[in-house]
Amino acid sequence: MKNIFLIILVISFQIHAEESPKKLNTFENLQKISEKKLNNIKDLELIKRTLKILIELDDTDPSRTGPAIMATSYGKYEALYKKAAKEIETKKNKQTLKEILQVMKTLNESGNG
Amino acid sequence: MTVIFTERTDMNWIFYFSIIVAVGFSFSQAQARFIKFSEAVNTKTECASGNCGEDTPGGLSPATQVNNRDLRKIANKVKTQAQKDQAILEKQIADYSGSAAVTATIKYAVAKKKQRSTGKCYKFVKNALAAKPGKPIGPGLIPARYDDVFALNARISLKREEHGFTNLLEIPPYDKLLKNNPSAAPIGAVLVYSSGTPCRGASYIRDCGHIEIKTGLPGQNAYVSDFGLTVPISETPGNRTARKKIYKLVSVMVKLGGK
Repeated sequence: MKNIFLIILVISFQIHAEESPKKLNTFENLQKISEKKLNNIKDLELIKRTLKILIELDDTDPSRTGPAIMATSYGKYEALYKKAAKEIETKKNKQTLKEILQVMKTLNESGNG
Repeated sequence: MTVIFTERTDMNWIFYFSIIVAVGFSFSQAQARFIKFSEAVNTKTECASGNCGEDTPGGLSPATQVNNRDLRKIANKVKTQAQKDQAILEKQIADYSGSAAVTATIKYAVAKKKQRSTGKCYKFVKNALAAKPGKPIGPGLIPARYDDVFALNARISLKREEHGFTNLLEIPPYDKLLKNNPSAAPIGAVLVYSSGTPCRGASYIRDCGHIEIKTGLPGQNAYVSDFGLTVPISETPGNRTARKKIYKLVSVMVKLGGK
């Protein structure tokens, strides 16, 4: 009886694991983008979207973990990030965008110490 | 089950794995029962041969009884000493939390923090640790601000002799009590986290980490570095919902014994 229960338990766990939607939270998505090799032309839209996400996150996440995750990618593709920032810049988000880019630059150039 | 396996042939290995696990489980159960049975038989045999220790009260020889008494005494002494050590440690931690240097550190950290991170958590914490009662910067919990590029390194730098901090995660019972539980840290504790996010100083650093001070104050000032949080950074919603946690607590640093 115990053995049957054990087998059913293992199988149901496997089925559940396979059928669970592979949801990623925002930070995990950002991690994926930060590891991506970017193309200065093709990936402009992706970085624009990413920066918009970072601006949105800024309201709820004072730790700015998003920009911290993206810092290395910023270091590699600084021109692309600056171009994307320029294209999405508005009066409302200008200051936030500037601070986000500064955090990424700081972390990439001199760490957090 | 047959239906499941005929429909999902890619899961046949699970079936075989389950069988192996089940057989292994049954075997271990049987083995445990056999050992118990063997012990019972051996005890009966010894008694049958008159070797049950009927000549001594309680079935133990006088020498064994003396040894047992001695062992009990030693165990009690060790237990008492451990309780004393624990009480001393608790007092040292309480003294640290209530010290003027910690109060100055917290006051400085709260006064200087920004609304949002500037990417300089470690710099702000080092400044706060160097704060002295009555002066903005000076020999406080640490003699002076020191050069160090990334926050994760504080778990080593703060332990250096000139700084004299101790990592509570290396001392029982705090190793278990505080593991992944920064909320239980004492007031004034410096919490060091790994973050998995890289940064760059003179060279590329794979894990820059994060550092913050537990202040014991309410609201946004509860955990302070270059910004403030109501909860430890490892317990923010973004970190809690991530399948792979970003921030993991690695050190809970305090200064013990007025070092």
